[in-house]
Amino acid sequence: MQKKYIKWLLFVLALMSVLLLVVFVSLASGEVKITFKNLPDVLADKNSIEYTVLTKIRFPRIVLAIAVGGALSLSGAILQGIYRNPLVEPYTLGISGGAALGVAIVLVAGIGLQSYFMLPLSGFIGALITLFLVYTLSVRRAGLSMNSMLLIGVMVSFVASSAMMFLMSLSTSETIHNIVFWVMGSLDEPNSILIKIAFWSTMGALFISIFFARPLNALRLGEVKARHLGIDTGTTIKILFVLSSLLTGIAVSVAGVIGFVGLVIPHIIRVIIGNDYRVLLLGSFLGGAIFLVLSDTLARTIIAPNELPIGVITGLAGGLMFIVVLSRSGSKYKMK
Amino acid sequence: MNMGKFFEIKELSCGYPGHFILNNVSLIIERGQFVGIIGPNGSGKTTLFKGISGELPTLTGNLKLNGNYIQKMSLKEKAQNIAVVTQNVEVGNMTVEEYVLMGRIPYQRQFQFFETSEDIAIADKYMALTGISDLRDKNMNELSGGEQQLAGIARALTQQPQLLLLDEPTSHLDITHQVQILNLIRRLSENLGLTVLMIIHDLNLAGEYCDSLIMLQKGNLRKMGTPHDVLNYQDIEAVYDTVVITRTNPVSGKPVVFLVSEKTMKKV
Amino acid sequence: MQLFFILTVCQLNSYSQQVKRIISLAPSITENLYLIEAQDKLVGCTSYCTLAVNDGVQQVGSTIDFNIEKILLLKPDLVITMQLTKPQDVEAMRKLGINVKVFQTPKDFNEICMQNLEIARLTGNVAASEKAIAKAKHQVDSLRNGMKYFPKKKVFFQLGANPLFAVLEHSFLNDYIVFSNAENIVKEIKTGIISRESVLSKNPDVIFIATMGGFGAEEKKVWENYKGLKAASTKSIFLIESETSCSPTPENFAKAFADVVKCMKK
Repeated sequence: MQKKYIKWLLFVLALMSVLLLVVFVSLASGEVKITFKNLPDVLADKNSIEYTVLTKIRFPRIVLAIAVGGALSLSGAILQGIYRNPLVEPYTLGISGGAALGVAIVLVAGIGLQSYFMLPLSGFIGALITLFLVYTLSVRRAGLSMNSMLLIGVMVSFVASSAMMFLMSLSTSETIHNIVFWVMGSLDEPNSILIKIAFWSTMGALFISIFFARPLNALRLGEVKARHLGIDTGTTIKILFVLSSLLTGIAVSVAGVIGFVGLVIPHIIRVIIGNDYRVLLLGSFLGGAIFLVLSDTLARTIIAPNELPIGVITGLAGGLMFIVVLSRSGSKYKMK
Repeated sequence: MNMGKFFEIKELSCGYPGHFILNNVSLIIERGQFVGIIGPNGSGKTTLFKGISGELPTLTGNLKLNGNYIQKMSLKEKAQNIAVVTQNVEVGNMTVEEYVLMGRIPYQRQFQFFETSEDIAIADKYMALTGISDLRDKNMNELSGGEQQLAGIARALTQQPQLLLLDEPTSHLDITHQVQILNLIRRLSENLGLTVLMIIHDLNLAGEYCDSLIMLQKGNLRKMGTPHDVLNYQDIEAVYDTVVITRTNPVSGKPVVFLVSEKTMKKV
Repeated sequence: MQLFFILTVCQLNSYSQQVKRIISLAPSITENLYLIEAQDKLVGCTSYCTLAVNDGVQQVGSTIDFNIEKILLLKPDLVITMQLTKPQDVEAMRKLGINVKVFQTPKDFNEICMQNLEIARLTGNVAASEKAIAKAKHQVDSLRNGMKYFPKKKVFFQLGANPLFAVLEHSFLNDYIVFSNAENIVKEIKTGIISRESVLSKNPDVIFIATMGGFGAEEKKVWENYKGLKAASTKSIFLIESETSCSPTPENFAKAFADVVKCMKK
């Protein structure tokens, strides 16, 4: 038993080191030349453009990447745990569809765009409404029906994207442009308050989720058997569902729809360290953070001075990684 | 041996909305008894289990374990008192040790991250008792059917329950494993004073191993008593709608049920 | 040879006299038509052509999404549109016997004027066009002269936010920068979506933001927040009205350019 815990500890430490490394690489990447050598000079001159780029552009993006990547992966790990379904990720439940629709409505109506809080707020409200819908529509006599939730989530997703297309057909090409690029995802968020909210709420959610590591482990045996072990599956699933939806809502409203992270990262972590949620939750969080910091670095450097939407990179890279990982591990890999 | 109403079911009705299956069942079980539940498919055996474990809500009646109403127990309390082993131990990617340790969950606090040394000791004890200590590091899905059943029983035992519910633990196993598991359960019930309720299809095994039998018919309790009382050809033929011949096992003295083929019957 | 030339000119003249009913499928085209006083010939416009809509002209949709039946019903002699309209839709109209003229987005001020003149030739308002063009050119030239000895500044002209969109060298908006004797920091790239860091790395002296869709004010605040950015420290971040600056007519260009020069001189 002890061996297992030591292995976990080493794994988490390794992930943290990789994250730190990736953060440094990201801080040093970009058109403005900031290297180890000139770093002291840059830090000394608070009025230089290099200092501004480092502190006001790169660093906030990295913090946001950690928050969003961590939130999405954590949410994915939790959802895969309660649904016992490997294809579930934050977006399957329609949460991101609702958020995107909220943003589209505001962009088309053109209301309140003077404030930078308007779009994230509308995204978050869209996510909450979707969450509420999926939740209430799936409540049955014996508690939440997992299958209904999945189906309803998928349907809500479809309805939301159809509604968005309807809205786009009514709007100017410029608004369409804005909607499409918002949906494709971007970590270019200059508002530091939003970044702080995203970061700290994600950390809070991570902390809370650790308390549910044991119940999630019990759920690996199935809902019925988890109840036999004394876990209040009804309450646990409700709390976890809300938690994961809030995580997704925050991530999507600040950064747009960044796909695949919630699906792929938990699987990769599982292949490396196993299915025990006591290490999987934190592992997924760190894995997602690393992945997104790397993706964002690529997004803003690969075709500089142009910038790629980050959803493109996570989609392509994530998808490829997923295929590689699954084909390598083959039959050895089991989700539960 | 403690006498008295250890486990009492009073006028229990439960089942599925629209057509409830179990109808007004009352029975009393003494502590330490090894009780078999027999009956044809659809007679309500699994429904009875689900009613006891709380998986199905009770429509009427109540259940008392050692003087405490089961329906009033919290999920945790129930798990500390009643353990269920189902027919299929469907577990994926975890080691036997991890799986068995799950039985300690009812005793762990919400924020408790690691198992206590006591938890580990208890798991070790029951893995040894069920003879699977050598398999502790193996993956659950690498085990045979019989080994998985043993793991399931070990896990149930680490819950240190007063009542053990087993749903057809031997149905899909060969005779070696059937005997192995039933011997184990018999030993547990005698040595640990564990009260065991087991759904079993095989009437002969039921007769050989159980202290008493509960015979269910179409959602009702038809008869409860010793194997001698219950396993007679009149009751069996009435419930199973099949011609049988009953005799006695020459070595153990327990009742034995013979089935007769159609061909043979024509000759008779 | 001369006879042939005269005949062709007569043909053009007689053609333009035959154009009595025009449909405009772009706001900038509508504005050009008003500028050359041809609005009485306008029978159809898009829902974004504010001037025409206010005058009660029939709406047929938008540049990209219009109702072809409605256009048919209005029996136009000529439909004028910009390259935003899909080629398939243009073909569809032509197949129905409608005369369609498509203009590419003008690459500079000169082309804006040329397009205005061409519209005038098609509608028969050449005189009004030449007058308007001359007036605009005069304004633009005198402003240009005023900026000839102005120190060469580095300019970033922002067209949109989320994503950050820049004015590129092949756009007529680039002339606002060139005519001010300034330099566009965005060079040699094909698409306009750039990263904030790119802008900061070039450290422009002046930033113009076309106020599209209400993002302008917030964007200004964001840029002003970057220490070390020359445009921020010299308070040279300006909002420019997009209705005039982004709509290619000679008059609009002159107005917007005047605005730009005023800001540059602050």
